[in-house]
Amino acid sequence: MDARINDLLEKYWEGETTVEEENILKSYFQNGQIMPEHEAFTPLFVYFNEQKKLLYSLPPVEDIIQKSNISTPVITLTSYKKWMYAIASVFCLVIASWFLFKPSNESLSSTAYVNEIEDPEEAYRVTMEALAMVSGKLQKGTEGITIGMENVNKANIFK
Amino acid sequence: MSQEVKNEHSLFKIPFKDKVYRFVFNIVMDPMDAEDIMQELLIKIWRKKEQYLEIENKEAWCMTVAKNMAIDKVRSRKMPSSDIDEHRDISDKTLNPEQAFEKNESFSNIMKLLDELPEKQKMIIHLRDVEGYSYQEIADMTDNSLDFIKVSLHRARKALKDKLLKNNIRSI
Repeated sequence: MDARINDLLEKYWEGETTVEEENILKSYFQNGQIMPEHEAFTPLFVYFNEQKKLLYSLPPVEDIIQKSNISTPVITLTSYKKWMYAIASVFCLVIASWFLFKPSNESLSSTAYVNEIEDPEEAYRVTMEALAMVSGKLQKGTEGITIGMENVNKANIFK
Repeated sequence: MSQEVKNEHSLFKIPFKDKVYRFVFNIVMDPMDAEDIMQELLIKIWRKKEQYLEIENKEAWCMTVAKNMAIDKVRSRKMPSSDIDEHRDISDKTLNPEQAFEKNESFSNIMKLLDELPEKQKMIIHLRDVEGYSYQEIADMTDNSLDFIKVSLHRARKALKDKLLKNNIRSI
């Protein structure tokens, strides 16, 4: 018997035992008459036997059905991705808007130049030039309108 | 009792429920988590009852689904699970308090040794040495090849032997 148990144990550690042989080993370690050289292995085999005593009690079927009817929100990967794309798009728009609409350095510097004129005469001259240019543009515009109105009036006379 | 419930009572007659529970417990090492997973499994069976009834090997299916749930549970834990000692309470009325203490201590040591094994080796040891499944059944349940199961079982047992000899855990 001792020799057989030794052989079975060697086979067991090598992973070569059958289920029946493993049951023989479990019985051997369970019955209490264990050889001293095998005592170190006793807790392992007793543990395997004791594990089989763990049982599970099914909950009432009504409980399972009730719990399964409670819908759980499902966040799919697709909807998650959609949100990520939307957030990324908004971010890109904000960045693009910043580059498109921010005041350029050139306009800032020209504004700075105008503001820096300190000589009153020079400032007056520059202002008058600017006003004359605006006035000239306006004059051209009103001339066009006057000609246009005359044509309209002519058309009314023929009627 | 509603007709629906009456009709579906047979759905939950699961002769292998204890095996599934033990397997799950062996992975999560926490009775509360194991109970939660069992409940999730039952809800899954109920929600997919048409498909479930058509499954040929329901035991293998349940073991596989429960295993995946248990692994997810372990991986989702932000904090490490509490001490194994807290989760093991073998109440054996035939033992006096001292013997019961020694037995619990001994089992805690074994659980710690098993817990030190790689996840798959731990599962394979349980399925073979506790539940007595064949290598092929274990291969099917764990989605591994037959050779992988044999090699893993061999390595796991060798590791356990070495650790037991090293620690020389006191016999019960």
